[in-house]
Amino acid sequence: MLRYLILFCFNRIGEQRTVASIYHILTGRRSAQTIQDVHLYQLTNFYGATKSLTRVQFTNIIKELIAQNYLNERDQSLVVLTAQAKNYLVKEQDKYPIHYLQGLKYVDIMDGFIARFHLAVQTYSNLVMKNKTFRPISDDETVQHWVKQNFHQNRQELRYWLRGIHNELLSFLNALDNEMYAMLFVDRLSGYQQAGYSIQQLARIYQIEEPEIELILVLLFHKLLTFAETNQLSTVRTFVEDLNLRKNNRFLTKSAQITLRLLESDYTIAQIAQKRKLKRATIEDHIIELTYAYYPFRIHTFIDQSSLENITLTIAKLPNHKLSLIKQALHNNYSYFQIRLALVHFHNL
Amino acid sequence: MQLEQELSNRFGFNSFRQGQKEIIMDVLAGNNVLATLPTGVGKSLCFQLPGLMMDGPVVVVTPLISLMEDQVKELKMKGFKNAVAVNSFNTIEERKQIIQTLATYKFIYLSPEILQNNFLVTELALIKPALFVIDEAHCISQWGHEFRPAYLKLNTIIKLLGSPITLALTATATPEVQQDIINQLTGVKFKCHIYPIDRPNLSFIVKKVKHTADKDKQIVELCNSFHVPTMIYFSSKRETERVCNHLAQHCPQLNVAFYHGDVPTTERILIQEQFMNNQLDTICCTSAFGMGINKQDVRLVIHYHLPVQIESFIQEVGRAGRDQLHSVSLTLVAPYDYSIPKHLIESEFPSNAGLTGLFNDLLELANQKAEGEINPAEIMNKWNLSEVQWRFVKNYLEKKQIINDNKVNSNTTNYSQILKYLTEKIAIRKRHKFKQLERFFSWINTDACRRIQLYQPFQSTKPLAQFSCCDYCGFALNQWAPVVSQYGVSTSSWQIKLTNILLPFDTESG
Repeated sequence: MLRYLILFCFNRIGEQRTVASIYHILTGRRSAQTIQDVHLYQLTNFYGATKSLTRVQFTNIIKELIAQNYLNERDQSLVVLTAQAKNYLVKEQDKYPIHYLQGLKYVDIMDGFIARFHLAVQTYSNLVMKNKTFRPISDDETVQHWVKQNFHQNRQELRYWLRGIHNELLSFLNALDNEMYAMLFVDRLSGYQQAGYSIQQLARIYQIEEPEIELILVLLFHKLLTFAETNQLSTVRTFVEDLNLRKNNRFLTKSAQITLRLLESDYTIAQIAQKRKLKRATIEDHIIELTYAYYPFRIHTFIDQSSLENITLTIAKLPNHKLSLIKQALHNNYSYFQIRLALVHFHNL
Repeated sequence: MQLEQELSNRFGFNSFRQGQKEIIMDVLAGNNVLATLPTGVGKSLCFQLPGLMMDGPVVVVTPLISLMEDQVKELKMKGFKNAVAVNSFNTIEERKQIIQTLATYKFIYLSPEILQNNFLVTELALIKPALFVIDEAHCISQWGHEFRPAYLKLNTIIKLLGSPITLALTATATPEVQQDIINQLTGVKFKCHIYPIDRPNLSFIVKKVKHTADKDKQIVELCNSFHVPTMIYFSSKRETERVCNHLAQHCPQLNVAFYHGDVPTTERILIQEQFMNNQLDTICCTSAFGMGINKQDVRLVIHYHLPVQIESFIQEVGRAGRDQLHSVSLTLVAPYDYSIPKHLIESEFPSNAGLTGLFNDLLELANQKAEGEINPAEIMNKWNLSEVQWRFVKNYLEKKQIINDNKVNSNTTNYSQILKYLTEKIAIRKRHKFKQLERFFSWINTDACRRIQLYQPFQSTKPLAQFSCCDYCGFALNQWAPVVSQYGVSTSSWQIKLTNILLPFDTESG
């Protein structure tokens, strides 16, 4: 599935971005460029899907895909999909449920959700059997604190809580189209007299590589959360009630937040660049990021309505959205910054 | 009689185990005590009980964070909520909070490194500790000189804390190490309680093989014939993984995993818990696995590689047979194995070239009279020093006033003398370590009873075997009939597994 996902991303991006940009998307890099990429190429769902994938693992997969004739290497940092890969993407599209992923939407709550879920299951399962001497599988204080509080609320009704989560998980796991996913999900759980399998053990048992196992597990938790929302699974939903989903699926890098504060105090781009000792282009990157996050955030401060319409119309006519192509088509009358603003506008139309 | 009453009231035990009462009575009488007790006998009771009976908090210095946290958890489970662990894993906020409320705790567990924090020590002094405990006190000697120089500063700390009663506890200390502990803690007059540390229920075997492939073959055979909780110790992380995969391939019935310092925390906890729950029978590990893991029924401890000293070996085999049932220690040795621990010892110390270069740099900085700040990362990189080596050097540089607070002290001038001193010091430590290693090698190659050779230097009584003794005394693995453990690996459907985890009460009654 990981290979499928990677090819899928390459297909969306085409030849417009480097190999590294896909790695940044999949590992959820918090940079303005990556945020912009996922919006531009509609890859928001895969943002941060394989957070623990190492650069080495990723590079090895790319090398394999090139060796197996799925990718062609143009130069050091650029690859293109082969016809075989395009066929493969069509042929296998029902096999891999990558549509379960809700990357950008869940990016800030996923880790907390998974850790709370596992620790709560372990805690309730042990304490209902009056076993207080288990070792918590998460040593994160905030996670432990949350589980403690949650447990405190339900301590009179342990069995009730456990039966509730059991029913909810049964309905979720039964709804999965591949039984192996249900097996994997359950094998990872820890409870009374039973510790879950490590990633490395699962890889051995299922004969699947470790990064792939991690992707499947994350994907299942994404699915669990959406499933819980649509089917009103009240126990599962308590795990994320106090965690904030990002508004409109979007969030800001730290640096962009600072720029936002300064813009709100009526600083100009030039003033901000000077004050922060940053390049003008960097501040412009922030503004693009802000515009994605809070559309139509002050877009007219930076571009007038007629320019915006003019550029947008040209974009709509062009086969791909390479910035240089758009600039050319507009006879170099507009800056890259203006074109990028118009692209945001275009994507939000 | 009164003490037994206290024991029963506070811990629910009816009687003391060997040595506990004598140690506790001495502590309560106001004596500083150095005590050796065998592993698994209840060393912590020796400070927990008197601590509870004394006015004022108990400060416990522990080498490992996991050990510290286990003990705090255990105390809390026993109902003593006023225990806390202060270590590098606390966030700044947490630590602030703890320090502000220090007076509310009875048991304060700390690492020696944390005690380098002057502010914390000042605050500790204000609450007047009644008892200062050094758990695993052999670390002062075993680690203090190279890895963890903070151990060598405990002497000063004890004075700063107003010289509370001091209790040093260990399970492995030769007379030489005991003397080293006493020497390092010059201000403290110790009464010694030395109890035999041998484990009568262990049998020892050393097997010489030609090469690694032989070891692998032996281990596969063993794991196929003895289905018992087994620990295999390695000195290389990579080898734990290789042999683990090898076993998984060749012993289809076996549940095996590897464990070392680079495995992510969550995964490590899972492996530990599986081992405790008997979901795993064999674990391939480095010395990172073990301390703080209190599994009663480990039957077999295999040494695939040799540790660098006999003390580590005794600690590691001591994890077998805590339930007092017959258990085995097997050491596999190939001819080239002798060079691995030698190499490990060499790598603990900086090279002469690196040291000289580093001193020249520092001298230059000092001559600039700028009170120049040093950059450890840069220094380590430039002179190719490991973290351990740098810590070792830094400790001496501070001792000799060449650096203070990461700044070069421009008033110190006798560099060449100090360099010479340090080079000599390193040579002495290396010689000492090689001597220790030789002792262990000669144990491997002994043609006498292994039990006596192993334990005799640590105790005055003659160690005796409860079951079979060792290969020299005629023991072989084919005479061994260990209690076979029940393994809880389920091959059920996911639905049943899910029920077992979420509705364990239904499973029990059904």
